[in-house]
Amino acid sequence: MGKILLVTAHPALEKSRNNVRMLRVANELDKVTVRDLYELYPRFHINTKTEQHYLEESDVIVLQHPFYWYSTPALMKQYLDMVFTHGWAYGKEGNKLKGKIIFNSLTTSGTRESYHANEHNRYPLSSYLVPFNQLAHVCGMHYLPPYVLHESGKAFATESIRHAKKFKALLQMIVKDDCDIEKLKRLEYLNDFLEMEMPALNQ
Amino acid sequence: MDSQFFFHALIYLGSAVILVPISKRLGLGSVLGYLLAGMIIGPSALALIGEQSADIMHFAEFGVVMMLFLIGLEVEPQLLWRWRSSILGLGGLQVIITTLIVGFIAYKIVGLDFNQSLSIGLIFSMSSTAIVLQTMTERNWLQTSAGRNAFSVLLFQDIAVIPILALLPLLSPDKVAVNVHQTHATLTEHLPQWGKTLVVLGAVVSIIVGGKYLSRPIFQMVAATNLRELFSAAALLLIVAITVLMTLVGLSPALGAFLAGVVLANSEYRHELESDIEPFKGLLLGLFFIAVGASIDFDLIAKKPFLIAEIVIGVMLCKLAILALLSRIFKLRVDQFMIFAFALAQVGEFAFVLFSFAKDLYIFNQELFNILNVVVAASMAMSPILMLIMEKFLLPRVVKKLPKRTREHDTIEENNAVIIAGYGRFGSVTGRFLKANGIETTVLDANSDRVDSLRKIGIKVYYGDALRIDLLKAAGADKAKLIVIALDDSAQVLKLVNIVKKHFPNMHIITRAHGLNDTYELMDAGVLHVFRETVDSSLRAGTEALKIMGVRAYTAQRAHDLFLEHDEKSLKKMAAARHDKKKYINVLRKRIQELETIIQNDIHEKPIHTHTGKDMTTLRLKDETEEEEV
Repeated sequence: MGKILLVTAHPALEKSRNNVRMLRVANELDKVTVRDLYELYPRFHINTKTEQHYLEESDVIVLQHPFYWYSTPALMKQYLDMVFTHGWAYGKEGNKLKGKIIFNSLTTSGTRESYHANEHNRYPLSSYLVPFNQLAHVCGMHYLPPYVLHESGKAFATESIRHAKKFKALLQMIVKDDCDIEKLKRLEYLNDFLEMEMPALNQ
Repeated sequence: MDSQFFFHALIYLGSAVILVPISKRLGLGSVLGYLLAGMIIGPSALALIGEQSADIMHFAEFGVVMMLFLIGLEVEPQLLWRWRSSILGLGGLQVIITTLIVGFIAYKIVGLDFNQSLSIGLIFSMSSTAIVLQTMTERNWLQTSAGRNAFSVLLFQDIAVIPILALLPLLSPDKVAVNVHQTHATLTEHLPQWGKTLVVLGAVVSIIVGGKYLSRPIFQMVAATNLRELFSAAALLLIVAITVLMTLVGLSPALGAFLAGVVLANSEYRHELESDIEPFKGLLLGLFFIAVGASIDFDLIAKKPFLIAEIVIGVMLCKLAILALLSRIFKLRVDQFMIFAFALAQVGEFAFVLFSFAKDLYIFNQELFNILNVVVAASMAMSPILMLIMEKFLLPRVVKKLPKRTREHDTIEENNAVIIAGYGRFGSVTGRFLKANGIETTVLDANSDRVDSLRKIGIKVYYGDALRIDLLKAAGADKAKLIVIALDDSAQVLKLVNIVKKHFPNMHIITRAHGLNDTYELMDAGVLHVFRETVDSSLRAGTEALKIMGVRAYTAQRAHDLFLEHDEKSLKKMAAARHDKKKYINVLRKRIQELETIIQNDIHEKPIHTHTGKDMTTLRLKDETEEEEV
């Protein structure tokens, strides 16, 4: 699969514990390029050309963000609005993202069980991600299930570090093209794939 | 100076100051006010002034010359070229048809001889530049198509005066008189025809070339002295010089002044020239109208009321009909055609000169001359009344019937919605920013060198002191939406704010302030948008410093925004407390403390998480200890 573009948006990354750890491990990998949106565009003035260039150069796009109000922080929405444009990403001649892979990597304080009809969050997590799924569809991309950290607020160093490690493994696997996309698509979370393939990581 | 002069000045000025405001208040316009003033102080009524009104009228005609210069300043050369069909076609036809019809009536119906009829026809075809332009300016009609066409016709008439002056001697029954009265003492009278033409062409070319290449360095030099009155003197000198030159070669001074105006229309000194000439023009025109009013011979009217009424009504109806016909041919819209025809229906001031010339040539006897003169004056006096009737009763009817969407008026191109006063470091950035966003600005700057260098790189900047009300008016302050005051001197900024508040309350004000004291004063003066020139850049520098010290860009940006917001809020409290030193320091200290707490709480160490409501401090502590264990 090749090169990964990790687009991350966290308005107060210095206060985050989980996102910071994940970024740190991602930065250790050669084939991963990180675009830290809140650091790059503090005034929300996104450079469309530059960002499109990074996207064109990559094969896999990871949207890494806290799950604010069941969505991304504002700047990541702005990024999608400004960069994924008609005539480039979609539309008659917009095919620059065609065939690329995209998925969300998110952190949320809710439990996995809470994303259920009878529970607090009332809908499965995937239904909140429908806009991203549809964006991928319109742009001719493969949308993969999300990589999720639940109970992010309760996840202290042990769990947080483990999650970051697994994230690194996931990215490495993707870089090595070591997986079957169609099989991944059928999963609920990308986390599940790691559980199956590399149970050792849970230690 | 003899006391007679001051006495007359007292009468003229006094009558104008009393009557013109009354006339304006009654909605009759200034022209009628001046005319009434003239009639009242004239020999026929109070007789406060004697027979010298004719001389004064000639002198005051200089106001018409200035008026045409001012109009020329508004007309760019390309514009003149676009109007050629209305100047030559409309103007030419108007003069020819009026001459023929009026002449025919005089010859066939009144029974005057052929030469007299032709002379009267020619002379009655003239309209009054002064009255037409003054009434139209007052109503803002000059930029409408009626105004433009009326102006074109007047311009043609100005040109037509020259051949008429040449033609009249040929109509004289007395050839001796012709020789005696070829007294329009011009330099060219002894030259052969081709020589005269050459001199005339030379004069026109010299105005164009002089205006284009000579005027700039001269004005530049004068402006560099920073003496305002010297600039006024130079402006007056320009007009007087043109008048002298034109008179010498036998051309109409008004025409020459108009030409000079057109040549200078693109000059950076345009607004300055406008505001320097404007008051003189206004005064002289007022004087001119008073003189016209005073020259109306009421004794004669009383003796032959019906005859004079017949001629006045006849001539004006005749002109009105011809103008109406022409404007239909030239496809003016109904409302425009009405304005156009009513505006030009009077006989103009040229008639006084031409009739007395014709009398000297024995074309008319004294009696006929007196009657004709009264007719001219009366028709001029009737003109504002006629306009008023048209405007109040006829125009509303036709306008109502017009489809709404076609009712757009042409506007002067330089009347931009934004005026920038001061185009230095601050104003220039604001100006460039607005221009980049497609908002044109009228820029005034009083630094002559800066104006020059800016014009060299293609920026339209006008030289002038923005504190002058007349200059602001010339820059379109009456209609502008916003003024950006970015003058270097803070006292001047405050002065200009007060001027704008008083005279142009239509404009929003954005000001630059230097320090805190200026800011307070501007806030006291009621300016809503005060921008301290260094605050934004200092804060941006601080934001960059934060980033270098390891603060994330967005956090630094939020700190920047928070600081600015708080600082602007606290300004108001500090402005209120500033006169009491102790109180001021207390407020200041309190605000600084507040600011620190706010930024710390909001951005850096807010203990409660915005989304989870969890205590972040303990959470972080737990995480850190656990990480150490791992």
